[in-house]
Amino acid sequence: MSEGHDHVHEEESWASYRVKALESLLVEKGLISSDSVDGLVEAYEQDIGPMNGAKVVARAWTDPEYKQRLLEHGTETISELGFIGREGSDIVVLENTPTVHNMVVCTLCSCYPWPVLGLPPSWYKSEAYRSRAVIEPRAVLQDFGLELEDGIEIRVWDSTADIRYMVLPERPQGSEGMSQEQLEELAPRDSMIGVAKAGRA
Amino acid sequence: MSNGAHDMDGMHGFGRVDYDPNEPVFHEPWEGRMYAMMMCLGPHDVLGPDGLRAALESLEPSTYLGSTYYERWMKVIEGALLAKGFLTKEELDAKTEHFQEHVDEVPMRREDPALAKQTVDAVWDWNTPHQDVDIKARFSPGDRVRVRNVHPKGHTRLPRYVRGKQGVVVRFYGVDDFHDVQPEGASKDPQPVYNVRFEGSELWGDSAEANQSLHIDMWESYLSPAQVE
Repeated sequence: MSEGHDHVHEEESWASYRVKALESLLVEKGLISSDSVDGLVEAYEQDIGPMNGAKVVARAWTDPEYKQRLLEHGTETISELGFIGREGSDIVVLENTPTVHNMVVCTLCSCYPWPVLGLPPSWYKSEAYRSRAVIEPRAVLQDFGLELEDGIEIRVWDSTADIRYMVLPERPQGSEGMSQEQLEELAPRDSMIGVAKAGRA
Repeated sequence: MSNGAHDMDGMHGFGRVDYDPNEPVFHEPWEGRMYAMMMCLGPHDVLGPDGLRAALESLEPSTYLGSTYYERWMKVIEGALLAKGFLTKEELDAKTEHFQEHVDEVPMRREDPALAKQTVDAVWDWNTPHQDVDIKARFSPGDRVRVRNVHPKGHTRLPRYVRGKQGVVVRFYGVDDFHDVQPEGASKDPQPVYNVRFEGSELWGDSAEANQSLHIDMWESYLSPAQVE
């Protein structure tokens, strides 16, 4: 973020001008239309994000029958809530337990379950995460402030094919009796990637 | 390509994971425009049959590593648009210079509400990768497998850190489209896809962390029975 800069144009990067030029020429030549671009940006800024996945998680925490179907048939069960589509037509849900901790990476690129988590954050696409998550996951989790005992097995899922993975974090203690909406607040994005526990945003 | 800068699993030297808890979806407006333009250009097949990932991997390693995520997208789409004659370098440079000199100007606008609705609706389309074809899976959960030691020149989904390693099939997912870029004449047919589990010690030897395993999705042609090799 560029807070502290009053001069709006001071920080404009060359890429911003290049992309403006590309957009202008592609529109001029009839290859794309402006409102399609507007619509996609808006969809991923507002409608397609981790608030969708949090609804899935909160439901699974409160409905054992839903949770069982979710773990067996992720895509179909998630689609009941309307979350299906690009980069998420085959979603597999991985359950974290007191003895098994799952975390997700895409070493080759940036594969990520868009319908439930939105577009991936920068760190997920970063060289540091992609290189280290597979060889030293415990050290990487420490970067996120998460220490896991050696007794807990860490399973790292490297998304190489068309399956997209989402983690079902453990339900936090003390959340009994909370409403669906309150529980959604306890399932931040990072807990569904497996670099954080549920319960803290 | 297979052994490119993008295949960074296990590499050292990239430092801590840089984490910003308040990161916006797009850091600057141009990232969102770039992202959306790439999606909108899909029907024009600008990148060709091998697609975005093969194009990204074809960037020079220094360019790949020296660019942000959406800068890479910008560079590959620009290269493809110029190579295919959709744009000329002269007009793109001139237009870029124009916007640098007229910072408050916005790109030309043309609207097509029907197309915009169709484009955004398509985001929610369920396009299963599973193909309903009659192919018998060679492996079953529980089978020990060894990953073939291959180094294809074209795009592959087989990361280098598992090549030659032994693992166990834990899931069979179905028969899916195969995305590797194959040499002329080689089969591009859909193949069974499995999830294979590798113990950390098999991949990293004594350097593995405690109690660690890797689960990786593999098309059948990546695998051979463990006892054969």
